[in-house]
Amino acid sequence: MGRFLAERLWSAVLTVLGASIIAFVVLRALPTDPARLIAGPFASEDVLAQVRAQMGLDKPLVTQYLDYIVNFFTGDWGFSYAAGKDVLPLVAERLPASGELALFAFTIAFSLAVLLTVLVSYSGSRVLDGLLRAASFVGVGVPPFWISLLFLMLFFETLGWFPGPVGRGPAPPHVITGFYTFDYLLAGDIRGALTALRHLALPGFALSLASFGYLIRLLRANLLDVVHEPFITVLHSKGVPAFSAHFRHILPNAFLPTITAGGLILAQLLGGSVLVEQIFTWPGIGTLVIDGITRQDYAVVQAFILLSAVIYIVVNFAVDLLYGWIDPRVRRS
Amino acid sequence: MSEAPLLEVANLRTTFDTPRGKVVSVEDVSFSVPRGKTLGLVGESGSGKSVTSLSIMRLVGRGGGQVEAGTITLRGNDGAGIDVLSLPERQMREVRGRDMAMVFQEPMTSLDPVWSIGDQIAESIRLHHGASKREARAQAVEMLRLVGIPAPERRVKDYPHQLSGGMRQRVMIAIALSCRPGLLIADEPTTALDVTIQAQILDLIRRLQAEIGMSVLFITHNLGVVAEIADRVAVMYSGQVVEEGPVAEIFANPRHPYTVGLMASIPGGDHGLKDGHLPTIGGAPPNPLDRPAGCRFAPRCTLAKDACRAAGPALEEVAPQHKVRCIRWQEVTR
Repeated sequence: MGRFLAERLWSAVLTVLGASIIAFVVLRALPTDPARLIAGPFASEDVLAQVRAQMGLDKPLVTQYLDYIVNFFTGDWGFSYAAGKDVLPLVAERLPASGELALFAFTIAFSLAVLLTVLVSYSGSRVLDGLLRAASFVGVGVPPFWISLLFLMLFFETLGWFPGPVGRGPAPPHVITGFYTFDYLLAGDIRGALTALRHLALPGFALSLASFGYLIRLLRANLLDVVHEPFITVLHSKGVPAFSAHFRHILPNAFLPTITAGGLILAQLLGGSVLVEQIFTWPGIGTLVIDGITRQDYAVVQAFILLSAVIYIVVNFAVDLLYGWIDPRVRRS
Repeated sequence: MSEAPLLEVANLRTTFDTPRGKVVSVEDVSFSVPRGKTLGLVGESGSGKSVTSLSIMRLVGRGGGQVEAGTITLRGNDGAGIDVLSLPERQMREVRGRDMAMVFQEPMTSLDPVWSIGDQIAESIRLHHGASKREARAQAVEMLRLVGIPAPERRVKDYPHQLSGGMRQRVMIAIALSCRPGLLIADEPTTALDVTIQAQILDLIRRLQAEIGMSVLFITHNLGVVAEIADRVAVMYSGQVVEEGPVAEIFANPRHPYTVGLMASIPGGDHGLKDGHLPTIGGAPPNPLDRPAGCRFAPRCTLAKDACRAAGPALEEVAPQHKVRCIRWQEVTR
């Protein structure tokens, strides 16, 4: 297990370095001159040189790259000219909003998909299986922005059950985790937590739908595969009851791809979603990055690329650990 | 042989619904396995051997089949018969693994890859004997020792992917025998293994049979294996038993043209190679969806005449304990 961990850690480090090189090179290769963008179209060459020196752009590329890496891990993520402040506090302010929405959407998608698929497969009912497949098709096929608008029309305008596209709602008195639901709970304010959840509900469900559909499809297919494996016939020949065969043998064998997919989905959601955040005016990282790209605010974009790489890697590392725990073949190989 | 047989199968008929129609996979199959003895069930691929064994275990439904007719009687040590086909599923589950157990053809895919082999053996013991976790684990170690796995205390924690095919088949046998069943159904247990390992596994089954005193239904397409391990033989062709009897009798005095053909095509037998070629039976078995009206072997039989094609022959006793499904059996010689 120690060697397994060391190998995974090493490959995680390599992946971060790879992502950082890509982020660095792509932004350097853009035809725009960041100094010109900052200093404005009428700035003289002297001023431009001054700005470049200030940003370190006059140094050799290798030095620039090393600076960038060292700065990133020491918390200096550069300065956003569009927002007029440092990138780190800017991201730190937006990240919890995306994180809370992502976690909410992921929890719904993953737990509902797994629960429904496993129960339907255990029931063996063709009707329920047909309904499940229909749900999966709808989930995968319907675009999130469209379902967002539909949700708003139905649950906000017509029924009035949930708040409209007004973002996260009132902030809790003390921001500790940055997740409003948790912060309200920590303050002992149940009503506040419920309000936060009500604001999360529509964007959360809209965001979860595609992952929900995809996970159903994946787990269902894997369960069907394992059910027809010869070792399941062997189990029945041993007299193992159907319940035990399903939950203690079939499910653990069929679950691994779902864990992998779950990890990728969570990592992707944590990186923020542009469309759903825009529609619900959710103050998340997705909207921040879109602004950064349109205004060529490249410190923000660069930080975001590396940050999402780190998120992917951390989540995948956790997935690898889970895998090793469930599948003995991974653990020993 | 005055004692009632441990397993008696009579007029078994198992069918499968397929998109192209109903397939009668096994029809009018009858045979018996004496207590403590071995019956070799022989036939080529598709002759219905595996369907017969799964029908006995009542596991044929998992593949979409159903037993339509016949009786299967399993007798306990007290001589009381269990009518296997009419048992409620709940009780059948208790019979499986405890009174009759099965070893399958493919050891590489027969074990759960995410369970340790010890846990897979202990699972049966806990289910049927209600043993505690620790007792079951200790018994699992004993079973591994019994089937000849070295260092069983250490190996009990291993996972299937850490074992070779031969070792996995030993584990399968350990699982099947962990509750000391009266009947072991071995469905081509050596087919997927190397020749040297095959001999070891056959020896193992024979040794454990003597030790536990169980009966064995040994399914194979290999007559050589039958000669080595079985007391009685049933030969299957196209879903029917065409000849059944004691091994010595059948080998000395086969009365069905198909049995004769099978024996002639054993390499190295006394019928040997004729002008450098191994004798074969011409033609192929009939499509189960479109079988000939009369004797199913008639299209491939050199002795077939009009009467053979007119009506399917019945299984007829031609000598004590020796039954043949052929109207011209008196003319059949090796």
